[in-house]
Amino acid sequence: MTERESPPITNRRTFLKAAAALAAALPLLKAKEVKGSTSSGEGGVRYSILYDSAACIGCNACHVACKTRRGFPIRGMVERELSPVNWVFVSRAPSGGQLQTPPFVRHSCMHCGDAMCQLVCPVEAIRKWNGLVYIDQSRCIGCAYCVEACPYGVPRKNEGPSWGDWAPHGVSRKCDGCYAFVQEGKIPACVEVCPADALRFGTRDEMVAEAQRRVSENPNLWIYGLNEFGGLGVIYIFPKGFDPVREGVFPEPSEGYRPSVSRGPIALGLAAVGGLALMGAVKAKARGEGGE
Amino acid sequence: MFVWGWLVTLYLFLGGLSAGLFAATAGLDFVGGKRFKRTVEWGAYWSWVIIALGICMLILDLGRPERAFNTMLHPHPVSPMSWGSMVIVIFMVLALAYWLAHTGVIVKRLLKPLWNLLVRLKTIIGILGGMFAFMTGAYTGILLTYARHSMWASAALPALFLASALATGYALFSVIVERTGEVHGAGLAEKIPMYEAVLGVLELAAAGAYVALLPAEARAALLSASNPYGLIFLLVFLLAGVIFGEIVLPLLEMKTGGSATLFLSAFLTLLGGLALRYVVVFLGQSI
Ligand code: SF4
Ligand code: SF4
Ligand code: SF4
Repeated sequence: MTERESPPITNRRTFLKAAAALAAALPLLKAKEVKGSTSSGEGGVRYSILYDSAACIGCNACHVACKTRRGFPIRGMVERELSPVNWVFVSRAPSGGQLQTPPFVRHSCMHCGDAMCQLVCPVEAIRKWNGLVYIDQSRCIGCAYCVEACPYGVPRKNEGPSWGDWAPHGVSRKCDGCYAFVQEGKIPACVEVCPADALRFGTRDEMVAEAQRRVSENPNLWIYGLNEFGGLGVIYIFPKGFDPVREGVFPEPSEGYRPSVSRGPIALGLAAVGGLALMGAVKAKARGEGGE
Repeated sequence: MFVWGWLVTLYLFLGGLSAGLFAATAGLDFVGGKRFKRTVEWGAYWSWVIIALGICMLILDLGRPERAFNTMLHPHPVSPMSWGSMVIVIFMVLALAYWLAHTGVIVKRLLKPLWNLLVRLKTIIGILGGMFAFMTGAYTGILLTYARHSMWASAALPALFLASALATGYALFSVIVERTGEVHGAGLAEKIPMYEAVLGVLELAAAGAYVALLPAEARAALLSASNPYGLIFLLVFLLAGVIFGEIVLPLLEMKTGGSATLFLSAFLTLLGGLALRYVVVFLGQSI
């Protein structure tokens, strides 16, 4: 087995052991949501997915496996648009930058460290479990704020009929990192079926280490996702010469969502002070002029 | 393609309209007290009715309207929509209380102690209501600045929406003033168009700041006359609404001393305010 073939944790037995240990420890962990941070959220580990575009063969087995696990409809053709019942697909980038052949790109939730969707959700329906960002569909009100705020344009509101338990009508849906299955000791369906070793699953440290190992073995590759949006929970490996930001596939990286956290309240505070001052001034002037 | 459509557009517009109307009404109440009783009653009435309508639009837009109360049951303090919901609900309650304090409808007979309390707190309700009106006006803009679209990324969007809220609310207020006729002879009639023009100039400045702080590609789309949205922004919002409706016509009224164009001015201002929300919401989601 070459080094490339030895998975750090997607090795099922190792993973099951780790998951069982984690499950046993779960009640002991204070399952508290850490709001507004790059933390793992509930739990203490940060799980991540590694996607190696150079290894990907574009078969979209991940797309089919994800749908199958949730009982979503599988149409004849691969759906190259995220939807409430399509949480992942792979397609070639529209342009390859300096490459002749555009590389494959996985489109799905990035499980951002600074998850803008989680920040804006007005009812705390978006949570993190060990770094996996999921929508609690029993609480979601279907306001679509997460849809508008996600920099990667990932969540989709289900305007149509319900599709079983995983996509009820009226709520927003997206890849949840298979967190409920991971809790049972399974791994994400997309990772499980990948025939090309282009997907791996494990702790973020392990995924970053694996990505660095692959890149060190092949200097024509580079890593995306280490720092963007608080550090992504999906680590990408791309061929050099292709920049997904420059090609418009991924958004311009931001400094995370911390600036937004304070900007809104500051603007609201200014408006409050302005309103109070104006109304107070009018009243005081009227009183001075002998008004009521 | 459009996740947020007409219902959200109307919500943003009505929220601002109600906020501006309340601020103007409470201001007149402070200045003139009982002299403008009917104007204040009508202004307060339409303030809470319009914000209630706006909230209805928002609830109707939800995928699960029956869960709307989750915003109160499970607040998320860092989410603008969460604290914004609190702000608009508090504003609606204050506007309703202000109206009740002035008219006494129902409470005067059935809930005498509440009526007495409202009357005693009238001024405080007016001042707090004005504060929450400003917060409501700015919040509708703040809400959008958290989303990813470049058209919503201008830091001056809350200022523009607040300015538009005050201008549209004031335009409706000026119609109410005209209908009740109470300010005629009170030495205030000529000041009504003057304040409208001042608000128009402020809105023009806010619009300039909004455009200047937009990312280049959004600015180009907004100011493009070959794009239908750009055309609506330039012709309906800027030219007809702000320049003509809020500045030129009120200045003419001041000069002539009549109110012949008041309804046209108010209509253009309201149309401009709606056009602004429409363009920001729809064009925002298409680029
Ligand atoms: S990619 Fe979008 S939906 Fe996924 S965690 Fe990040 S902000 Fe949320
Ligand atoms: S659509 Fe649901 S998950 Fe998304 S922000 Fe609204 S309530 Fe939260
Ligand atoms: S992690 Fe699970 S939900 Fe997400 S794309 Fe993979 S299979 Fe689908």
